[in-house]
Amino acid sequence: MGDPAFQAWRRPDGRIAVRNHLLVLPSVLCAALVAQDVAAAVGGVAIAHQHGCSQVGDDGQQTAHAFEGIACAPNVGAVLVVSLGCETVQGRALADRIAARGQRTEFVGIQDAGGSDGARTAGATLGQTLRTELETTPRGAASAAELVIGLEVSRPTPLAAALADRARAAGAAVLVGEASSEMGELAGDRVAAFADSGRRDGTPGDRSAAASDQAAGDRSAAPAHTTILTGAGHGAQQHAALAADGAHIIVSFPDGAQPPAGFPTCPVVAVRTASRVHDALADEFDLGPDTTADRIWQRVLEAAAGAATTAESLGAGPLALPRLAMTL
Amino acid sequence: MLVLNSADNVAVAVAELAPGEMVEVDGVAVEVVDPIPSGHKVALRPIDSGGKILKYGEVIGIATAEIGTGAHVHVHNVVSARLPGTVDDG
Amino acid sequence: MIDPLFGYPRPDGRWGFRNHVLILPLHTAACTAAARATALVPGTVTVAHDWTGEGHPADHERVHRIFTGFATHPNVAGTVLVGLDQADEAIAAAAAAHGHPAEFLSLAGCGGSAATVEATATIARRLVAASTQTKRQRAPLSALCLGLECGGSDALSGITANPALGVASDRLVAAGATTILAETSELIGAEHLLAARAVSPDVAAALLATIARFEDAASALGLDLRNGQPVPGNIAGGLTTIEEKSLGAAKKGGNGPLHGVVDYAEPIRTPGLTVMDTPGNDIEQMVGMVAAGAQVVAFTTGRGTPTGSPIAPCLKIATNTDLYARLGGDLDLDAGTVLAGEPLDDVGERILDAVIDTLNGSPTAAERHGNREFALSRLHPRWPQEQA
Repeated sequence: MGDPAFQAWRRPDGRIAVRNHLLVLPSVLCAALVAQDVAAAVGGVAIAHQHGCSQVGDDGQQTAHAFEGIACAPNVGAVLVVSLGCETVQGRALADRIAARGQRTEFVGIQDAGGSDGARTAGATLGQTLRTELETTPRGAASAAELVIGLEVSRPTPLAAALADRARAAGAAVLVGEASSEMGELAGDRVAAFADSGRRDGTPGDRSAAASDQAAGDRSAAPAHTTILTGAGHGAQQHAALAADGAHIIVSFPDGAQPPAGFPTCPVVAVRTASRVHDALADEFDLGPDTTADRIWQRVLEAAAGAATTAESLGAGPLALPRLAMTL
Repeated sequence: MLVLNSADNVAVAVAELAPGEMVEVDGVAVEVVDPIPSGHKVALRPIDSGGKILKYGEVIGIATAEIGTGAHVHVHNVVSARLPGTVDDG
Repeated sequence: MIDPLFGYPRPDGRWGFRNHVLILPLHTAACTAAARATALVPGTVTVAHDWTGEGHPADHERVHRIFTGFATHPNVAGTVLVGLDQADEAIAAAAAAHGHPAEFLSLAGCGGSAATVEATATIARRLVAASTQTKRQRAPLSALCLGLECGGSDALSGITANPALGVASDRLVAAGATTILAETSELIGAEHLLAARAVSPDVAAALLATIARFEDAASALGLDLRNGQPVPGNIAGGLTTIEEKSLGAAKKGGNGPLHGVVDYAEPIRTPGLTVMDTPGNDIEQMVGMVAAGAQVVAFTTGRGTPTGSPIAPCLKIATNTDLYARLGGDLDLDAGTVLAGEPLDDVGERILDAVIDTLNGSPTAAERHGNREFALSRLHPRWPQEQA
C-alpha cells in the first residue's frame, strides 16, 4: 500500500520483531532486584512487578500466563527467568512453558544458586550467552503487512478506529484491548467503532503452542483483521495482554486523567487528549490531540524502523497487570 | 527425629531418612517405611483414615487414608481440618 | 540485660533507627522519575509500585495509610512526595501534620519527568543535609517496634527460628517495647491459642473477628485458601496444612499476653504484642508492619529469601544450619543450632542482641544488598471491573 519496507529481525517461527530484547523476567517480586541487576549487567530488559506469590487459583494462573505471553512476544528474542524458588508462580515451570513455545530460555533460581549473589553471577553468565546469541538474529526487510498493532483505547476517540482502518489498509493486524468481557457498558462505546472485527478472550490465558500456532494461522489467512481482546484489564494494564497476544507496537490513548505509560518490551506510541494532566505532561506524549490517523501510522512505522518512542526514552515503570483476587 | 508434644502422633525428621531405617522415639523403636525428606513428618503409630494428625499437641489435619507406623505423613494422605472445599491442582 | 539503644528522636515523639530521606512516588507514573532522583542523591531511598489512583474506596484508604505511614516513618528524616498532579497533595498534607519534613511536588506541576527529577533531587539534597543535623541519642526500649515475620517457611520454622524469635519478642515486650505478629492467613488454626492469651475479652474478640472476616472474604471470592497456603516451597519443606504452618508461625509471638489487634498498616498506639491483619505475602505484610511504625523486622526463613524493606532494616534468621551455610550471604543469623542442642533461650538472646545491634546501625544482609522491596496490598484488585 505504498508503505516503505523497514529493517526488522525475524524469529524462527517467521514472525518479524521490531525490537530484539533480552527479557530478564522475575517470576516473583522477591527476585526483582537480582533480575534488575542482571539486566543492567548484560544489557537486558527487566520487568518490575509486585506479583508472583500468595496468589490463589485463577489469579496465580493468570499472572503466570501473562508472564509467559510477554516472554513469548515477538519483540523478545530470548528470556532469562529469575526465580526465588518458593513462590506461587514457580519460576522453573514458567521457564519450561516459555521454552516449550519455542522461545530461547534460560533459568536461574536464587535458592538453588546459593543466594542472591550466586544468582547474580550465574544470571550474568547466562544472560551474556543469550545476549551474544541475539547478535546473530537474522535481520532483513519487512513490510507493514507483517506488523501487529495493539491499541489501548482508554478514552472515546474516533482516532482509534481510523488508525485501525489505516493499519488494516496496510495489511497489518490490529488488536484492541477491552477491559472486561462482562462490562460492555464501560468499554463498549470505545470498541463499538471497530465494526469489522472478531473477538477473542484477551485475559492473559493459557496459550499453548498449538493455540499460538492457530492464532498465527488465523492471522496469515486474514491479515487485515481487527481482533478485540476481551478481559484485557483497565488502562495500561491492557499493554500486557496486547504484548502477550503478539503486538509489536502499542498505540495508547490514555484516559485524560491518566499519564502515558510505557511497556518494557514494546514501543508505546502515546496520543494525548486535551486535559489538565495531559496538557501539563505534553512532552511525555508522542502526538498531540490534533493529530490524525495518518500521522499516528507514520509514527508507528518510524518506531517499527527503530526510532525510540517517548516512552522508550523515558523508561518503562512498574508493570501494570490485571489481577483477579487479593493477595493472601 | 523430634517429637514436639507428648500427645503427638507424628515426629519431625531432622535429617533425611530412608526406608528400613530404625529410629528411636521416646524409647520406642519406629521403622521408617517411606523416604522422608528432612523436615517432613513420620507417623509414630497407626492413624486411621479420618483420624486427627497431632503436632505441637494440636490438630494439624485429618488423614485421608490409613497411615501406618513409620510412613511419610504429608499432602498425599492429609488434608486441612480447618478449610473446607476441594483442592485444585494449581 | 538488653543493650542500650541509640536512635534519632522525631518531632512526633517516636524514635528512628535509620536516617533515610525517602522519595515517595504517589502514582506509578512518578516511579521512574523518583528512581532517577534517588540515583542522583546519596542518602535517599525510593519505592516502586503500580498505583494509579484508581481503586475501590477501601483501597484508596489502605494505600493512603501505607503512603502516610512511610512518609512519616520514624526511620525517615524527611520525605519528598512525588505525585501525578495537585490531587495527590492530600497525602503530603497528612504527612506534614505529623511534623515530619515532607515536601510535595508533581509531574504535572513540574511539567514533565526531566523537570521533576531535577526538582526532586534539589529538595532531596536539602533534606539529606538537614538530616545530618540529627544525631543518635540514648533511646528507651519502649520506643522500639519490631515486626515479626516468617517467609519461605519449612517444618523447622516452628521448631527453631520462630520460637527463638518468640523468646526475643517476650523479652522486648516485658521491657516495654511493641512487637507485631501478622499474616492473618497464617494464624488460621492457631487463633484459639492467641485468643487465650489476650489481655481482655475485647482483644480476644477482635482477634477472632479478624480471622473470621478473612475467611469470609476469601470464601465470598470463591477462593480455596488451601490452594494458596501453604505455598509450594512450604510443602516441599514438609508443611502439610495451613494449621500446621500457622501453629509454627504463631510461635514468633512468644508466650506472653496479646495486647491488641490492628488493621493493615494501622499505627499502633499501645505497646506490647499486637496482631496486625495482613496478607501472608512476604512483602505486603512487611510493608504493612513498617507503615504502622515498625523500625526493624525480624524475618525467619526456611527456604531463604533476600528481601528487605526500603526504610527498615530486616534481619534474616535461618531455620536450619544447612540453609545458613548455602545462602549465608542473604541471611544474618542461624537458629538451626537449636537442633544441635543450643537452648532456645540462648538463640532468642542472640536474636535480641542482633536486633539491638541492627537498630544501633549495623547493616543487615538485605541492606548491604540494597533489597528494598515494596508492594501495595489491595482488597479489591479487580476494581473497576468488579463494578459490573
